[in-house]
Amino acid sequence: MDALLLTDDEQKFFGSLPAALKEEWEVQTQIPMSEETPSQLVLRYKMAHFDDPRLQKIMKGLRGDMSRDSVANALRSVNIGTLSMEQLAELFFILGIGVMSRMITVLLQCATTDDDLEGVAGLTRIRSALHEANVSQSQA
Amino acid sequence: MISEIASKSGSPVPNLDRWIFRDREAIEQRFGMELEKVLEMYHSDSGRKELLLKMKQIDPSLNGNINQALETVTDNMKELKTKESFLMKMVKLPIRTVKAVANAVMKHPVLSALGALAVIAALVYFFGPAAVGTGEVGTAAAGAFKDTVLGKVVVPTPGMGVGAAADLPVTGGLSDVAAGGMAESAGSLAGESGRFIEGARISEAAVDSIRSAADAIAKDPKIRTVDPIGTFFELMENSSK
Repeated sequence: MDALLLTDDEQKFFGSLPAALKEEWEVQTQIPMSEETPSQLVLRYKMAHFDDPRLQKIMKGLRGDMSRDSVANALRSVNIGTLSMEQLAELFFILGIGVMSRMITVLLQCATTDDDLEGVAGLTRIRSALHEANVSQSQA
Repeated sequence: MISEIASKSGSPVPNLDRWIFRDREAIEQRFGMELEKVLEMYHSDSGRKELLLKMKQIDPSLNGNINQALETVTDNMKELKTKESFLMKMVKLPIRTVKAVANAVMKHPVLSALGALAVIAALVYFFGPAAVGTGEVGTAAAGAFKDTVLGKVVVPTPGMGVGAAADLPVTGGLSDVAAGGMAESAGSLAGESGRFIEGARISEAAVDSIRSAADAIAKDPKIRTVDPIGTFFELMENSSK
């Protein structure tokens, strides 16, 4: 079982979970992380490469109709969890530290099982990897 | 692809996005040398001059924007190196870690919706008809977004911090920015540089929209229900009435 790498604020959400759910988990403190700037994220969006055929098909469908219903249906038809690791990596890179952190907060608030916390642990690992990559390049 | 769209639309707007590359190979092919060498040259006066000359030869239409193009491509190279570093770290993660994330996302549709929102925004805003800086095409697409989720979330005005945006009522949208305040604020900027800055601000607003959507989802438990996407749209609509 991975440890949960949580910020101080996230540890408060973890602290409010039922004792039985928390007992097996080790929590480590994630050092404060800077979020990417909007202009950095814009560049990442422009560099992104989503070649999953399902995403391409959705995109083609949206070209003719970007109404509320059509966008909502497109969103419903994509389950990000079924994407390949490469496509997930593309996604997390464009989401950045900020949105990933909000996903972690949401998952901590919804967590009812060990599997949910496994998901939190995984997300915190990926966020930490992104943070390290950000820092290594800003210092280069 | 963005520049192809601009070209097809007949828009005369020279696009600095021609100097943004998806991967190392594309940059190295354009400059005819390794990415690290280009970065090294950027850090010396003589190297910079040489790079500017090369870029001008490759793309004479850059003219007055050439320094901006060099800054863009340099930032692009730095982000590419960050991406390479991140991908290497992702590959080294145990498969069960990635699988656990995928399972959690599949179980909680609200997380998938958030990711999907970002993917669709990426595809639509940056690779599709709404790609900024493409003149009429970009404006028309911004209008088309008026009734969509990205058109309903708050968009910060230039100079407003991301944190401040989260405290604002959810209203307005990219179309408002394109049609109103943004155009006005960019109006005093002449020519291509003005259009580039306007485009950049709209792009950043799109990114902030996704962050705002994430904030809304994190703050409001009502969104995390059976149909998070439908609920999310309803909340956005109600708050903009």
